[in-house]
Amino acid sequence: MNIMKKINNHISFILLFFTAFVFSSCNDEIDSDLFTGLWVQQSITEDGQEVSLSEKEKNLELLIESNGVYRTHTNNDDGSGSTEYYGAWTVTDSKWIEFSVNTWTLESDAYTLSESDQWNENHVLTRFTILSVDADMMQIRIKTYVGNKKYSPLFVVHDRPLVTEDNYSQITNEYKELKTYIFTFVKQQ
Amino acid sequence: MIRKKFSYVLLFCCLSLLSTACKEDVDIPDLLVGTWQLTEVKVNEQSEDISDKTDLIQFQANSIYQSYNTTTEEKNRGGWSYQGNMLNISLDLPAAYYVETISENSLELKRFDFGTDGELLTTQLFYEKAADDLIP
Repeated sequence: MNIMKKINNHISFILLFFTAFVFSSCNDEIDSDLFTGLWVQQSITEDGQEVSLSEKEKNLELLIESNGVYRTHTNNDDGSGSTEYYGAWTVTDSKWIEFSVNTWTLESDAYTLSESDQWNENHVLTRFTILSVDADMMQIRIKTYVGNKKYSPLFVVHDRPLVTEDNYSQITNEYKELKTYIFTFVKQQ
Repeated sequence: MIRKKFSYVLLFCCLSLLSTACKEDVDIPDLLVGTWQLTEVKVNEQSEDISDKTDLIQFQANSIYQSYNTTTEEKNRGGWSYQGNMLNISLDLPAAYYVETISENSLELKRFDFGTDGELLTTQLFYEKAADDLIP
């Protein structure tokens, strides 16, 4: 009788363990599907301070699709049509979301070079920490150089200025100063 | 008695595994292979004139994609894949397609695009299976 009771306990334990295993085996901490859909940029903070958004940034739309491609759309500030941009996205370890972005860096002594040679373009994966994501809102954070945020499409495509002796040191300083940015998007569809 | 109990446990485990296994739809790429003729296009639920559109598309098993416009006789070749539950056609990237419905004889694809003012346009493309030799 005692042996039967022990066996029953073992069976109950196995059943409990197996049920827990089966129902947890397919789950990630964050479901990547939560990211897919159409998002509109709601706010950006820089080191905790809310940044005043330009018209272009206010109407930024971000379409994330399950095949790993994202697309953005903004109406240009000067009313001269719109700008679309696209790249790839991935989620890593349920902690980070990476977007491939054409980042721009400044050549040394760029002001001595012709306009077309002043900036270097690099297509790189740019990693954001996922602060929160649900069916309605997504918040992601990145610590990056001010210059990177200012001149690379995070997430609005920006114009890069002509580098002169006057603005060279200001721009190089922007690539030395690190700040933390939090982007908030709200789901549209 | 004990044997019977273990049989029930085993049966439970097997059924649980079968019902909750991570599934991936493997039928869609197989069903896509072949030639398809465009029959209707809807943008935001409104039917569009298809007389000037590329009306034949072909997915080959070796991941080659072909399209053919029977009016202009323009032919294009590219690649295709089915990834993340979406159909990627190299000629149309970054836009990709959702396979809304598919059977042996009919296919409905959907894609999203931004309109000029940023509104999201939904395009539905309806196809019927066609003979492979329609594309020269």
